[in-house]
Amino acid sequence: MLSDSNFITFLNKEGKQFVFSGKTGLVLEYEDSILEYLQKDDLKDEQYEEYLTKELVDFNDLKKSLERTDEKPYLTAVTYFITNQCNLNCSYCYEKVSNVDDSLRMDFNTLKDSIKFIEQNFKLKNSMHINFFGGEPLLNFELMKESVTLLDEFGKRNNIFISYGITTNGTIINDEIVEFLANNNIGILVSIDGTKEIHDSNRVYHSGKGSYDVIVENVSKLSPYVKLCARVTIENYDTDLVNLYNHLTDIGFSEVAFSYVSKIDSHITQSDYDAVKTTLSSLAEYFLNQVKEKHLPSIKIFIDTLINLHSGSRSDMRLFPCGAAKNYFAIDPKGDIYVCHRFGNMDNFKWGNIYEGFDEKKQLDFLRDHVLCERGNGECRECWAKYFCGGACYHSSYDSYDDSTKNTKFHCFYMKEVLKNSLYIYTSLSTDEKKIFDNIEPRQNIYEPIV
Amino acid sequence: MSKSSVFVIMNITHKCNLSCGYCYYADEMNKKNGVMSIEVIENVFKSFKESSLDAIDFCFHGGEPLTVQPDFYEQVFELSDKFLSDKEVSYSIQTNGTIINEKVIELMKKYNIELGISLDGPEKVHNYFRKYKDGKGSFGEVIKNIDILKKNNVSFGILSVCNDKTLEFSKEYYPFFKSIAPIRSLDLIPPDCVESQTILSKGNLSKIFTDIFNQWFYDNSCTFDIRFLSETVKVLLGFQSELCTYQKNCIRSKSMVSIDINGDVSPCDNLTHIQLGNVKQNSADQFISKSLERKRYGMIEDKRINDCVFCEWFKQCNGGCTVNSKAGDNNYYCSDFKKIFSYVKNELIKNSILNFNGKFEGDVTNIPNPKLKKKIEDTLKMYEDCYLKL
Repeated sequence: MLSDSNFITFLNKEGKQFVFSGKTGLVLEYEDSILEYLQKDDLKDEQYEEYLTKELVDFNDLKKSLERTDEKPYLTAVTYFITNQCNLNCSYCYEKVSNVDDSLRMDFNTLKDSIKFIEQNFKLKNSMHINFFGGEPLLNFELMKESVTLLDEFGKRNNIFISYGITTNGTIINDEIVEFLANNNIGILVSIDGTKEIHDSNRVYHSGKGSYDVIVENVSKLSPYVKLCARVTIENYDTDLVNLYNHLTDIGFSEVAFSYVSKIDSHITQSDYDAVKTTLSSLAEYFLNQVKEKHLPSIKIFIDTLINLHSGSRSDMRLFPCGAAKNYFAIDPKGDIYVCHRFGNMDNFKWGNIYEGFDEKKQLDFLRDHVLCERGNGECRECWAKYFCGGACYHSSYDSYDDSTKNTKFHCFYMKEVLKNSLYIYTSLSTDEKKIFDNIEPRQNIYEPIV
Repeated sequence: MSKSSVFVIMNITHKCNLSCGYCYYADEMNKKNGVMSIEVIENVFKSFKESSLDAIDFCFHGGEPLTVQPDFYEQVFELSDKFLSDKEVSYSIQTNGTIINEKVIELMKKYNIELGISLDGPEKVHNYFRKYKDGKGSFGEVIKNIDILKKNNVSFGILSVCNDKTLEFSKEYYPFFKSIAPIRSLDLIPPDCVESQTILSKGNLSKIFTDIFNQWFYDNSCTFDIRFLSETVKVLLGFQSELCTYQKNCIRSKSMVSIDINGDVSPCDNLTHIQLGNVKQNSADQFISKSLERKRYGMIEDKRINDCVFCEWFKQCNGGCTVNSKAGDNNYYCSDFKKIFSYVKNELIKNSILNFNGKFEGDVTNIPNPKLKKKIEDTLKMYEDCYLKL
């Protein structure tokens, strides 16, 4: 049982040994009796079963629950591609890969019709998150303003709470925009890659000029009034994550969320993997030291994971990597409906149009094929990180293998490193320090996968 | 959706006939004179008329609001009727209780005004600070007026600022207020920290609180709520609180504004440096929901309580009242509140109201104080209704 891929053992900062069970999502101090239980296959103990070996989910039941129903699907988040235009020309932009008609902007009528479509074709819960995307969404600021008015009305009409977010390149700010973003409580993700040197090596205008200086100035205009989250794309796996975090918080960001640039598995080298392992481990050590000094760093990946661990993964286990295709979709200027914001303009991930209808069968088929137990031909079933991970990002897998049901090597590696480091942090905290996670509101991350 | 309402403190005058030792307002009174003009008052009502609010609760404050004559108030209420007839409106007056006469009583009854009277406790406590300009204590006059109100069936609540003197008489405090019952409610308030004076030493708030709590909590013939105490129980049971000190970032909250004599709007009458707008230029929707200044100070307030997340009482306390926090320091009453929460939680567990894990399971039977019990029952029902609506 010990060599079972469903368990890992690890040490905390004091050198105490712990075991984590991927079946139950629980972490325990590794006493002799546990060792004995895990080593002997035939040893029966109700308590240890409950804590260590009892599977949380019956995968057969799970698959049955994804059979066809007559019920409309739920919708709790939407990304609107309000324009395909962008004033930047970032080298790694995944949207440049597809044949984008870059003069496309969403108009008011499409937005209005999409709301009617949503009301007619989906069930609603008590809240919905609307994300403004692009291209650069602030190039269609007029529509953003009109959208919020319409969507607020939609919320009132249906008795649901509407929250807003925007992912922006941070280069277009004026007084009116500041006021609008602040007064409508719009969650702001600014794409910024780190120091000027790193950022300007990829995130440039069409002229080739870097965008860093403009962004820093704009951040100083926004940060007195609203919280800003830095959305970092890491190209160089060696990047020092601690310096990255400190630099971005120094220039005015309240929070840092990073992910590695979309690269197919075959292009990622062993030294890349080693670099991620090292830098992530240093970041975890930094996080832990800060907490010991009673400061809580706003490093999204750790905070989200620690809250999850603290509440016990039974309460928030992932059977899918994210809400895409389940209760979250993306709508583009033509009214086309896509699995998520990364699949814009990719026909085999288009599930309809707001004027033609939504293909529920495609959705159910997709969910059945992509539920946790089916990913990677079943390889997720025996993984200790499964309920934390939920499977690889569909887009990353499709990118690497033309098959969204597969997992990517990088995703599996990265998820495990994140969870390992989070377990290390969590088990190195005192009981009192763990109580912080009772005090923080868990953030709904359904529109952006972990990676 | 639930109705939208706001509590509006109307600073109608800076004038006052008393000279209380701890008055945080004394400075302002000497600098700015006068009464809120009818023009400003009309602007107040106009700005609320145009708003999307359903209900407005006006509280007249000062100085001493009853130094303004009842005739003036008649004008005010007539204007209010004219502009706010399609809104739910209520009025209250916070007074030092020394200027009660027939005309005032008539006014209270005619417009259904809730009266709040400042009374700090038994005579020795009240007269320690609350004196006339000639140094004479105001206790006698206040008690006399309370009798008159009772005889005229005008109900009133009590506002009571505590200080070190209160601690000397903390065991007489609750029996004293019982003796002047019926009172609608008792609002026990820790004093604001002002640079030049600390009238309540650190550690004494918790002592006062626990002394009063011990008597009030177990009184099964209790006839009035003591908000500070009952809201503390409420937050320990896991509910949100209406008490402003227990709010999470009161500056972001849109439930209260304070309007000064010249129409300037602030989130609270202790935070007049935060200017949300002016009733002459801005609509209520603007200064309540769309003020960038509110966002700016809201961010500063978030930063202030950043590290409070490490405290076991964070969910109940939410960082304490910002007025009592100086930059770089813990809130003045921080250690007092920790003691208060710890004490009350213990009492709740001792009486099997919270289970041994400190969790509330919805059972109110073991709550000794009937007023408190009813408050918790009503809160449970409200949460139930909300849940069902979703």
